[in-house]
Amino acid sequence: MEYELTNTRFNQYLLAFNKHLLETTVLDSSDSHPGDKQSQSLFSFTNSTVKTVAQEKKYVLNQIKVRHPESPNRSLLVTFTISYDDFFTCPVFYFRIFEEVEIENETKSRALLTIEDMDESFQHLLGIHSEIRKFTNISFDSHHMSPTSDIWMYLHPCDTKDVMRSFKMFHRNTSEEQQVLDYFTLWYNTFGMGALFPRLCLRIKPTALS
Amino acid sequence: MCADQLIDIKDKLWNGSINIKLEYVIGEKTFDYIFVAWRLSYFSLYFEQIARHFEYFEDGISKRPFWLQHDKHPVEWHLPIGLLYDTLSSSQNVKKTKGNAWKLQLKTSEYPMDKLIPFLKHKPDGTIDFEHETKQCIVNRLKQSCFVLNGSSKKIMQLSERDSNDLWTAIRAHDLSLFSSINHKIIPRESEIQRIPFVIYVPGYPLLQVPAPLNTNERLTLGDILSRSEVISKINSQSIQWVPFVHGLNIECMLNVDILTVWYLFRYLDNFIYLSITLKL
Repeated sequence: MEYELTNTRFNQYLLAFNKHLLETTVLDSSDSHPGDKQSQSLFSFTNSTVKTVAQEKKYVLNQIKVRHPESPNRSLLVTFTISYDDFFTCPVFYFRIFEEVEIENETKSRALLTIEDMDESFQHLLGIHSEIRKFTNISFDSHHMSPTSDIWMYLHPCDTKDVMRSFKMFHRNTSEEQQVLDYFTLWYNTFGMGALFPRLCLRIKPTALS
Repeated sequence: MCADQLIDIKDKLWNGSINIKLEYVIGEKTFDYIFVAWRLSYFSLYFEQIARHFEYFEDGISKRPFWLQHDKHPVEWHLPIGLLYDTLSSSQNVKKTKGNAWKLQLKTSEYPMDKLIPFLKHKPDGTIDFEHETKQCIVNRLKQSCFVLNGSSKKIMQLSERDSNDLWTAIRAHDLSLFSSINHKIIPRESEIQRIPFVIYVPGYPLLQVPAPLNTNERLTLGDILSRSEVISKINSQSIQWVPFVHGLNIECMLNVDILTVWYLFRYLDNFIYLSITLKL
């Protein structure tokens, strides 16, 4: 494999990758062991859809809710998409994060728009110091798959291709499906959720180990 | 097309402008601000002067986020003004005054965060730093087009600090000579161009990212690029007629022109070509 993901391969294996993502994502906070029962009960996927739009392009729209360990009325809602950028020829991670507080059956929601906001909210809302990478390049733009041009945050993919090329984890002897799923997994943990949550990590296991 | 004609057309496009009339309602009174905006510029680069004007009528407006609205549609300040005018006018809803100005409303409450990029930085005096977000957006687009043209964003990432500052100054001040001298360092020689960055807007569809390959053996035309799009094919199959617009010009007559010439002529400040398709329904 030439360490590049084409739009065709992206479309072909997106559903399988998303299934893997839903099945193997673990929550690893400082106070729990990844994958243990207590840790897993703190988060859930509240929505997951694979959509097809113009030009036969597919993308995933997922939503994860992370609850406060001791106050279930406080939570963090992360909506994210995984789509293929035809200009940078690689996957791109768009997201929106809200902190939610439920008081007397009324949910108050606040959008988190900066790294400082997210850090503060994790500390305040979840009691966890997030240690989001300060160098993470978060930008805003119209979502390239939205017909109504809604604004989302995204991790700028200008160096994704170079970094993905530099990884040496791809094995020539494995099947194409396995190679693409490995690419997806590595990308997701580096330029997807893993770039946002290095400590409060919603990571997926490498497919080779599953 | 000879070099002189190219320069003449590019000069005309660079100097293209639109008359804007802003209306701001305070209480029961409506206040206006009329100005001329470059087609190739961005509304957010005018926000500081707009805020200064309305400060005469309402204290503190420059410390709060505001935005422009066309009918009920928030105007996306991160897109070129000419493109916004062309795409909104394609719905034939452009409101013009007698003086042929584009009429927009200024709004100050309930900033539509899901439709417009927020302004998050303030200056030391508490006023909003409109330039900070604008610069980030435009630089991101330049990185994107640089990647498409060169196969990597290195050329723009490796500009010297002075060149980077000059590039931004040129965009902000609408200085063609300074802009060309720096932009020249980002764009590869013709023989080294990998792909051409096209963005196509079709009403009702997500924007189409079209990195058009530059095949040296057989140069693709604008018509080739459009006919390869599945969205355009779908529209053709429904027998719907359409017209391609760029910079307010109907370029139907250029469908047989090669894409490199089209790009040299019509690229925007961020080196993209934004083509809007108007459907004749």
